[in-house]
Amino acid sequence: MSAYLEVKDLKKYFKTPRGMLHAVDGLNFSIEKGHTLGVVGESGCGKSTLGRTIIGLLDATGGQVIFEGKDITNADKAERMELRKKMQIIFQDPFSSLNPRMTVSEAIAEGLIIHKVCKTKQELDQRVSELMDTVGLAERFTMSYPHELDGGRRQRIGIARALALNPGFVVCDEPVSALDVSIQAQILNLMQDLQEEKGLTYMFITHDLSVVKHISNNILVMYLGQLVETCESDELFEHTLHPYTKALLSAIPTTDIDNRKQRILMQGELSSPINPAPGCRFAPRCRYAEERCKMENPVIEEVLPGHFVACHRVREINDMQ
Amino acid sequence: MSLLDIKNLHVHYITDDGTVKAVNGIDLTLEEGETLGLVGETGAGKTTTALSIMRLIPDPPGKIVDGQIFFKGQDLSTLGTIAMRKIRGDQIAMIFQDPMTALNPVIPVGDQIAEVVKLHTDGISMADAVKRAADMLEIVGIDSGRMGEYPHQFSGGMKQRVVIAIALACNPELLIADEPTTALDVTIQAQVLELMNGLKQKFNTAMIMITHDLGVVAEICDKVAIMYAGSIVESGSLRQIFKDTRHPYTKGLFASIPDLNHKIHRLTPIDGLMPDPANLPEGCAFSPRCPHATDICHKEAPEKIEVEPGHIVCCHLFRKGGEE
Repeated sequence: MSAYLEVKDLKKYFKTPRGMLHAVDGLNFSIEKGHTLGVVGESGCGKSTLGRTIIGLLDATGGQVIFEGKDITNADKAERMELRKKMQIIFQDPFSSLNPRMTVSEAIAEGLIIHKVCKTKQELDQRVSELMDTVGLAERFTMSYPHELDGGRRQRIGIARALALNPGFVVCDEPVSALDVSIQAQILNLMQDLQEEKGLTYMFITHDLSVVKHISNNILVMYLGQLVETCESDELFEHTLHPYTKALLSAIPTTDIDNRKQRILMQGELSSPINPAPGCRFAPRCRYAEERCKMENPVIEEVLPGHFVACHRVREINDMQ
Repeated sequence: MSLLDIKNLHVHYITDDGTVKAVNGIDLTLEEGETLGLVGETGAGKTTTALSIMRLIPDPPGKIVDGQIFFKGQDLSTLGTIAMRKIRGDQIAMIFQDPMTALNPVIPVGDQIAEVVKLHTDGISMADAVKRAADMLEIVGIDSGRMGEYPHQFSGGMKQRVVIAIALACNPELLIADEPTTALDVTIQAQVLELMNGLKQKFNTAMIMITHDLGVVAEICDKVAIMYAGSIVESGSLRQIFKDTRHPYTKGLFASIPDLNHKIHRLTPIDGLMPDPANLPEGCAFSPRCPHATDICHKEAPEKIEVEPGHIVCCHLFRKGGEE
């Protein structure tokens, strides 16, 4: 069986006055139907660009996006319109992604009207109230404006908008990062319930490894536009192989005060993605970096079954042969 | 005498739409060199508490309506503007949440640090103040050669280091850090926390760390106070709060965090939302969301009960002798 969504050597470059910005640089992966892929990385690593390129909000510079067996990389306007019914996105910031002059019901109905899904006004109202019910928005908010609602409720509107056309695939771009922990947990549970109920496939973009561990089947770790490590979620936490993933994991503050982990402090910050130097992009911050790492870019290889890592020294530093 | 002793502090914002009760009778003490974690969600009153200590509450509409804030025995809540200005930035300093907006974009960072030194050190020459600024930059891990650069030339983590340098330039006895790492990536957050931990020990500065991240608290604090709707619902040592959690809200907070070490299928969030501080429920403010709420919770505000030495819980469940 072919994968539900397949990405082959996907590239997205932006032209800037200082040169080409390599936001997404040659990514390969696939997602099975009904699964969740967690995409993790720091700000500026290209994870949002990846999500937007896949659903066609940005045009790819190179490579292919194959959805349900069809190449959709260069889909024309009519095809895109059809795809919108199948692929949707939930944005990070519920404060800026909603039109402040639209009421809750107008915002949710917008997609339904554009795609002429409902024939009558009654049918439309019916569908909007169903959607509000699905995402847990009380009926009294129908005529409210976004500024009257808190972050959690606004994010529920964003989810209702994304689900309005019954898509199969949803890109979730940091949907809970702007929310308080107790609200974050409510939204994560809602998204899990919806996935089970409707068989949705998620691509879950986040910088928070603890959130993706909880919700993903597979995890993909990105660094400066490139894939550094990908495998099943449990496997990643049990056998962390790439030095970047190790450092990222150790940087998360833990609430377990008896088992303090040894922190690997990374030197420096993300280097610039504009005209990147040859060699491994993580090398300037990597404590294992040697000459070779600065000269040639490591290729992704399957180090353990189903566990792919891009690192020249992965076997050495993990005592594997 | 404690370094900081807050007694029964009430802060209200009086607006045309009603009175917002942001802080409702909190008590806090902090000794020299101690770090207190002030934890709560958006709107719990954490920042208002911090701004009251700094006397930076915007007035109007904000007002300290009751209570005292003793800093080294002196009541800050009644101190005059000029006297307060001498303390602020010198003995008590604050690190703000967003390093992007806390710095002046049109002044080089070196001058911004030197300004604080010049203001608070009598008779210091500009040359010496600039020298001190250079030293401070080195201490927070920035090459002093970058003194002449403007904030936009620094990354987020670097800007926060500059803000920390400004806050520590006059060796304050109390440092208030308002979500200093929230706007930063985890790897940068780890660097900044490490730096703050080191500096705190080096200068023996007492610190109030305001955050919503219990992980950050576990890394850096000695004592913890959990705030909800303007009140401290539970306070105690780090171990008491993390290992012997008593208040239902604190328990809810811990259950809401996805745990890296254990596999769980579902999170158990706290139902409902934080109440509107302009319209607080009667009795315990947490009662509408509390799974253990009884009649009395909806009628009477709970008192502070010391369940064990130093561990204070504000909940009706612990009325009799500290047992559930």
